[in-house]
Amino acid sequence: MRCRFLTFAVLGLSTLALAQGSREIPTHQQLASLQPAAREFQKLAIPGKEVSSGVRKLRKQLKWYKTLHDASREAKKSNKPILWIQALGKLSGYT
Amino acid sequence: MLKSDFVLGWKNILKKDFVGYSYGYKPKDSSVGTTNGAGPHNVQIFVLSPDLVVLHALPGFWHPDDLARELRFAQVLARLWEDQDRSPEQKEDMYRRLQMREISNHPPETFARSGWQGFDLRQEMARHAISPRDTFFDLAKDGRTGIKPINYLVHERMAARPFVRFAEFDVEGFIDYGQLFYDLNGRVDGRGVEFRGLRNIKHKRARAARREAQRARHRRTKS
Repeated sequence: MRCRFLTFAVLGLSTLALAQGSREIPTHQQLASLQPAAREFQKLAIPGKEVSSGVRKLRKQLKWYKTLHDASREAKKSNKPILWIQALGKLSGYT
Repeated sequence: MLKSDFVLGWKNILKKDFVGYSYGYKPKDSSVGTTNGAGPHNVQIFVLSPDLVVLHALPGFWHPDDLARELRFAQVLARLWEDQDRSPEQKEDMYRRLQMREISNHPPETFARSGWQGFDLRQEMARHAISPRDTFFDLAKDGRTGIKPINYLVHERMAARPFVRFAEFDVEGFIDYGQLFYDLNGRVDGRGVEFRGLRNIKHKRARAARREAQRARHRRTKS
């Protein structure tokens, strides 16, 4: 399944909306006004060409470690946390 | 953010016990939108400290805006983990508070994107009818009923797992909701390719389920 690319660079990570949300879970009425946009996103289908281009960028522009050991070593060197994705399939192939 | 702030890694979980089912699609196939947390058995996103402690985790797929927010939140947790001025107990307590408080920082749009897929909801309701699930609010404890939005559930489950070593992290428990099979691409690309390894896993699980059903029938007959 290719949904993952909608979570990554294909659509571009937009800057965070830092406005404070409600302190409570929104009510059904509040959510009702937002459902159409949420449903539109679910209907979204990014064409294969765009996905393909996005995958190429993901693989070319970003370094992906295949083992936790190697990622950990680099993370200790660079003092960065590790973003570790476990998924059914390969980044370059079928997912 | 991915390039500048994180070290990235990817692992194929085809051979894991907890893996879900899906048909495979190549990069030239289309990509479809979905709800936050859909496909928890097929995808798990972890943010780990350099010494492999789980700072944060997300099951399934996430909207880009919500993923970005969660990753920034994970960076806050990373700083907490590195904080030399707090004891382990203080850090764990702060971790729990931060995880639960983060829910109230989510905008309504995140909640709207964190609803349940229909088939996952039906699966959860069926399981909840047999035995109470943490996927549902408890009237006595929470003051409300109904199924929890996925964003709420994720932070609640993570609050119960403060700074666990990745090797000891209960992935199966963390991703335990919804059904094992997912193929939202089918409506766009038609049926994809079946993962070779998964066919065997499917048959093994079906055999195990039949054996368990047989044992249950046998136990009922005896009693």
